[in-house]
Amino acid sequence: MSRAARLVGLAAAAAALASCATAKPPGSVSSISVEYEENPTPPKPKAKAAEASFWENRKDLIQAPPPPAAAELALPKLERWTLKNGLEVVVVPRKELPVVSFGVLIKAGTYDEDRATNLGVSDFTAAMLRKGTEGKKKRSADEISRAIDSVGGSLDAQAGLESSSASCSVLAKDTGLCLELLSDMLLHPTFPEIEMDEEREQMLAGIAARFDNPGSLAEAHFDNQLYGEKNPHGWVLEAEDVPKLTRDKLVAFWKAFYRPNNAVLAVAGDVDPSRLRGEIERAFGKWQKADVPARPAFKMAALKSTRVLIVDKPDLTQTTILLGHRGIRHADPLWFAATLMNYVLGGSDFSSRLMTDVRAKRGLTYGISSTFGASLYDGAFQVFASTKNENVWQALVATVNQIRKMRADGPTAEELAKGKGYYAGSYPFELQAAAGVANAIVGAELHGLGLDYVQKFALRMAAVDEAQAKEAAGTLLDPDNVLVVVVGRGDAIERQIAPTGLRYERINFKDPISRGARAKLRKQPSAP
Amino acid sequence: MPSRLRAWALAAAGLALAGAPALAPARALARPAPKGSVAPKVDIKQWKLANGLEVLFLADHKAPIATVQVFYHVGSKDEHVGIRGVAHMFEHMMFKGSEHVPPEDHARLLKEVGGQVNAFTTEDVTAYHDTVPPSYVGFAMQLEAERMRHLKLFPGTIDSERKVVEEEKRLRVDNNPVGKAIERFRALAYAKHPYAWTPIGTIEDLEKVTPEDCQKFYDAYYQPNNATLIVVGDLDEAEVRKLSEQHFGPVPRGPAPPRNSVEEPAQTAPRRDTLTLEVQLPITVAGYHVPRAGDGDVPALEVLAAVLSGGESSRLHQRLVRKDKLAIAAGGLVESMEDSGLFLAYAAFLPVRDPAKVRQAIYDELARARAQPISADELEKAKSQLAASYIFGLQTVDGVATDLGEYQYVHGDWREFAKGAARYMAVTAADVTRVARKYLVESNLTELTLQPGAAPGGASTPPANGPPAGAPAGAPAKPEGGK
Repeated sequence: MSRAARLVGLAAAAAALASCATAKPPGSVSSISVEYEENPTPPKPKAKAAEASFWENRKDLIQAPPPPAAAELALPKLERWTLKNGLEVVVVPRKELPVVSFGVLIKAGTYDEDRATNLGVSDFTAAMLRKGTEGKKKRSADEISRAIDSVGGSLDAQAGLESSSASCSVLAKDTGLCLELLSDMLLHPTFPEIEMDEEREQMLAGIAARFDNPGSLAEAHFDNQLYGEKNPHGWVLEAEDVPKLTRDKLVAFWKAFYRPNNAVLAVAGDVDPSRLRGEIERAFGKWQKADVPARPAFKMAALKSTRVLIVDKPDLTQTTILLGHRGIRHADPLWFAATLMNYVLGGSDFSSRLMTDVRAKRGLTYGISSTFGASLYDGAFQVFASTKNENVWQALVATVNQIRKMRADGPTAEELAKGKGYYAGSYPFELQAAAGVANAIVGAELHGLGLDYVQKFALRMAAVDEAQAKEAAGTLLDPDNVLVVVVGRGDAIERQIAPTGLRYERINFKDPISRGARAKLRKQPSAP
Repeated sequence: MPSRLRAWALAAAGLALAGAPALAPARALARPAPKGSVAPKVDIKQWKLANGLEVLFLADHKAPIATVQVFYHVGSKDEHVGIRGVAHMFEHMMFKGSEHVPPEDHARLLKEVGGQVNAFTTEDVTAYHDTVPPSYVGFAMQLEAERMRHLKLFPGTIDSERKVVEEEKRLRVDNNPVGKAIERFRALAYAKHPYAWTPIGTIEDLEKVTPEDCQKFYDAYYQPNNATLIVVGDLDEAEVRKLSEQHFGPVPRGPAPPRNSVEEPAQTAPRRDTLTLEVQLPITVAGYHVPRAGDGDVPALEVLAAVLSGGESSRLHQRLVRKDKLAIAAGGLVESMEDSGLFLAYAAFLPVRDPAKVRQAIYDELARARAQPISADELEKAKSQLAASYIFGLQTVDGVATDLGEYQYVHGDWREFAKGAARYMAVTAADVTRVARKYLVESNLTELTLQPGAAPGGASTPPANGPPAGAPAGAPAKPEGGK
């Protein structure tokens, strides 16, 4: 959009706000281009000034000491090897506490499902792993629960978009039990039909629970709208998908993807690496390798205009807002610059520009933050905010203007320096528990980033210069073409959105989340 | 993908158990120390400054980090009708500027050096966390000492923060069915005691809070002699002693803080209610008054909670989820409070299930705990779980510090944390039966069922006239269980 055109849009939208009589038809305006300072309910200027002046021009305010210098992370001495069947093993020994955690990552998840035939299969498969096993010892679901509970350990299996995992944490003295249970779950699950109904109920309840949580509901709609029906990230499991998941499909998924050459085993904690080698060989050495289907790759197209989805839940006194657009992959060369730039924009709580402007200055939200994800395929840039139903438009205007300003000018040198100080000092926090180190290593592996990424994270962040941060802001932020999902009281929100001329759709919160399913429903003649 | 329901249900239940949704940290089963040689030595150093500030320090050299936490012995139980929510609002005001620190700069300045800053308010304590690289512990202390006594309470700032707190209440309570259920449950369970409301308070009272109320509250409770400074991390004792004296030493001692002496009258008859909301997953909660956290009966109650709720082999999960297939999640726990607490048993279930049957199954299990002793295996398992959970809890410096602070004021002594499992290891099966018989009785019961309202669903356009609001399932309070 040219500058002139934007000014026209700006004037039109501002006028629309001023009077509903001049409302534009929906779709006639393609972006939120209202002048930044627009704010009909500014805080009382007098009181504000009195308070602000208290700290003005003072020489005795507390200043922060110089920030810490970025350094390479001192990792404990790692052990890494690969079994003959291809299973990669990473061991992070930590002796301070007598605990040990095992995690097996399988490189398959929702991305490896098929929308029509087995949506939800990765999740269901993982959940069934601890519902019955046969190895050296046959165990029912209840026997597995009793075994792990009796030592006070935890045992879990789950699936996500990019991967599935099985994990077990115990006191070091119970290491053998953990290995045995995990080995049986991965190599010898029995998928008992009799256990499947309970899991189906869990899935149905999970689907129902979405409607009780405005944040989850907004997220599901945002993903569906942004990623669309062809990208698994945009798929939404609905109740009618659940009965399609037969035992055969679970077994087929397990056989195809649960293979040692498609897995990484991470061990962290109080272990004896020399003994562990033999134990791991005995537990996983007989796991049969096999060719695993190639993973599909997913790319996203940019949005071509701003559009708004209003999800009406009349009992809500507050609106949840998700605003965003296409992001980048974790392995993208601009990822560090984008993350640092985003820290300044909306990733640093009270220090962020969004929080300072939209909450502190304008009082429009309780909280506002933004993220660039760290994902295997193109992810999203997302702003999350919550506000009173009546303030939605004001909050959107302020947010988009902050993004626009960042896109135009990038962060300042001072802001970047503060961000670097934050990452240099805080990076070790996540890695204080041994399992945190193991997870970071396996996560980096999954995204093709390697150990170097984990060790040099703070150094990489410190190496981002002003030009790179500016490039990230200028090329990755797209304030004129954003997807907006708002979950709140529809009438109050529509009143604000309709006159702006933006393209928008209003739906009820119980409507199908998938755009395709809603379209299908509309085509059908309504039942009597 | 939707996350697995079990995770959701447990989180929802966790909320119900935690008291104030997301204001309080998850108050999980208290963590005892393990038995035997497995227990790592938790060598906590303690000293007091001349102004009454107590200091706790635990060296932990696992990673180059440290946490500085200041716990004030004040929470929503120090409020009264008219200022409900002021303790939590005060937590917000602590970030809004002091003599030498402009609004929001406390968090900003610490972020610049890699710090992470947080705060929470419960019924009994208000806590401030700064987790930083070890070389900035002195800086974090300087900022905490500053706001301990030098806050600037401007009327305009109070007004704008009041709005923020009201938005927080909308987010956490008003738009969250579980949050609403907790509010109702507390009001039902406590007739007189301030535990009748949660730390988020009421909008009605928040609207009325004046700058004078705030100043009075600050001067009464934010004093060194009403606080504990807790440092856990990669430092040595001499350094922490020096820094704490340097920064907090000059703060003058304040007057002794007033204490709320409201006693909750003994409950003599069961209280039952239902809350109808447009909710997809009903929940039922049964609560029983139990003594304060520091009471000698609490360890046995915690073992009982583990037997009922620890893992998928536990009694409530086995009965309600596995055997009867009534619920998607079920559990129980002791909600430990400085004054009288609650023992809670709960279940979340699909709307197609009969709530009366769900409740009956819970009451059957509680009756079984009263009727016969738990087995030796169950006792052993519960103790193993409590012991392991304690050790897992030692993995993060911020987790340990928060536990220490909670023990200090909620249980009445930080030494209870260091003592750990010893208090559980002495519990016998007979103790468990005894406390079940003593507290889990019908006259001591508060029961709340959150049920889906007969609200319009499914269609894009709600019908012009919503279905009648009648026939709320389970509304008639049938005398069930609890005997």
